[in-house]
Amino acid sequence: MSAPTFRTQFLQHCRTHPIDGMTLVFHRPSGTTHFLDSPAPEMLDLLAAAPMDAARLTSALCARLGLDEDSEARTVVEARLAQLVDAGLVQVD
Amino acid sequence: MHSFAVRIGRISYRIGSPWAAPIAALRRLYADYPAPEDGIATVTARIGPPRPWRRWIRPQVAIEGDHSLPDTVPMAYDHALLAIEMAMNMQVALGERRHLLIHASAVERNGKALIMPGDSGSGKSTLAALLGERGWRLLADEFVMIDMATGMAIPFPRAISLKNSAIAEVEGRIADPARFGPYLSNTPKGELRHLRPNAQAIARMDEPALPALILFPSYGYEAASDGVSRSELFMRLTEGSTNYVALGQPGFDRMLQLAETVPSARFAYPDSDSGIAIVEQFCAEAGL
Amino acid sequence: MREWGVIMREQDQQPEAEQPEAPATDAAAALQTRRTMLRMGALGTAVVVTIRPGMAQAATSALTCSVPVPQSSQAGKWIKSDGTVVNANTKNSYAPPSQPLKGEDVKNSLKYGTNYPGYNSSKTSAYNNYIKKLTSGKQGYTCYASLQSPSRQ
Repeated sequence: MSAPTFRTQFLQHCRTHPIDGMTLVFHRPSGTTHFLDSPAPEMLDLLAAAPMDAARLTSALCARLGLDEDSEARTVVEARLAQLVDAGLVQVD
Repeated sequence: MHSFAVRIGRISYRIGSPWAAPIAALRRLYADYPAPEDGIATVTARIGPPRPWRRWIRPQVAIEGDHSLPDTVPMAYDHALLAIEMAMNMQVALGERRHLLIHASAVERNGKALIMPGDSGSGKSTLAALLGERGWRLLADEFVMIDMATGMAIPFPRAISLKNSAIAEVEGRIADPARFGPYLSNTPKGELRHLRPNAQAIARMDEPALPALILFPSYGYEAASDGVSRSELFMRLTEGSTNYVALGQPGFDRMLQLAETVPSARFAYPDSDSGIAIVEQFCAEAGL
Repeated sequence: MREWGVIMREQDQQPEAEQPEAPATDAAAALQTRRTMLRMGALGTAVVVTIRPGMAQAATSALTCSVPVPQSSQAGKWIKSDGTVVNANTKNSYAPPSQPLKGEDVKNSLKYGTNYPGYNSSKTSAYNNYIKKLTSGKQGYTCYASLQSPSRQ
């Protein structure tokens, strides 16, 4: 059984605006407004480019942020993915 | 059915009631206000008995209208005027789509608006009432209406709700007793008395103002003040907006424009005179 | 006293720069993100905060004001159970929270007795006693005032 794949249509669906180091987001399909804090915007950026599973996303995110990939990183990414799915910004299949 | 039609800024109301006395009290409270243009009212607010017999037997008052909230508790007949004001609020809160609503009071000077968001008890109404008698023009007590196209603050000078200790305080500062509604005791909001805005506020109800400063008051604390960041401002303004969600992306854009361009601060104050002094200080710094 | 220091130090206590402003450079941004990613103890905090305004709804306000405990001028000090600010490792005192306490958390803690995320009830109680002692001019005072449900008697 392969690992779940995460995907997003963030770029097509959202109006975004940087504010105080965070990203303010209006999600058109749901009409919901969110504040995003790092690393959520970077994760959405990566998923928008290509759907990935959590392992690949963790590697890509660490590479992008210049961080060593350790076991903590994967845990953090999975927790943040769950929040993004809850918020309706990321879909999982 | 007894009814009263009145225009308050851009909202034209038709208010209905099966009882005569509350309508008479409302008519006195809004004496000198214009009638709807061409007699056309766009917002209907009604009070009525929650059960038919409650019209006569231990009368109770429920709020009715095009928009309603479930599970609202009926009020005592003595508080019918308050129920009417709440009905007038509710119709606008739930139905307004041409303006972004902020839960705040507002006053104007030199074409610029000072907006004071806050919950019941924050002091926003009392401060607005007192500033309105000290060279400022009252724009709003409960809802600040932001024009979706221009971002200007549109006057909505409803009667001001004074509660508890604020009643005596404002009574002491306003000479004309005819501007006050009846004294309502033991309402769900405490002791309450309505104050009609002054002649200037009524005469100039069609003059918009540019939002220039947003101050969050907290009554009943040692005097102190602090800045409010743009993100906090956006969050607090949307929390206090009853129609932000219904307006969709244009609402987001308009709210963001406010949060990005209007300076904001929060302050605590122990009494009205201190509060007014702090407000005037901020306004001087912000160029109002 | 060295032993006291080892016993009293908290596992999650990490010196964190308090930088609420947006980073000015890419390097600073990466550093901030690194801190965010590594802050395991803060996993309870959200990186997605959804706004849910409305007439009868509780507000999401992880982004409202925050209360630094203690003030930045007293960095490095600890909080005694009665809320006074004391030197690190003093008896009956606790390490302060690594981040300013978020307004919504303060409100809930004072109103409903909830603990601050990642901190137990003894620490929460000490922090709250500190907050209740705040006076005008101290960092976080106006935030604390704005979180109360004011009563006008």
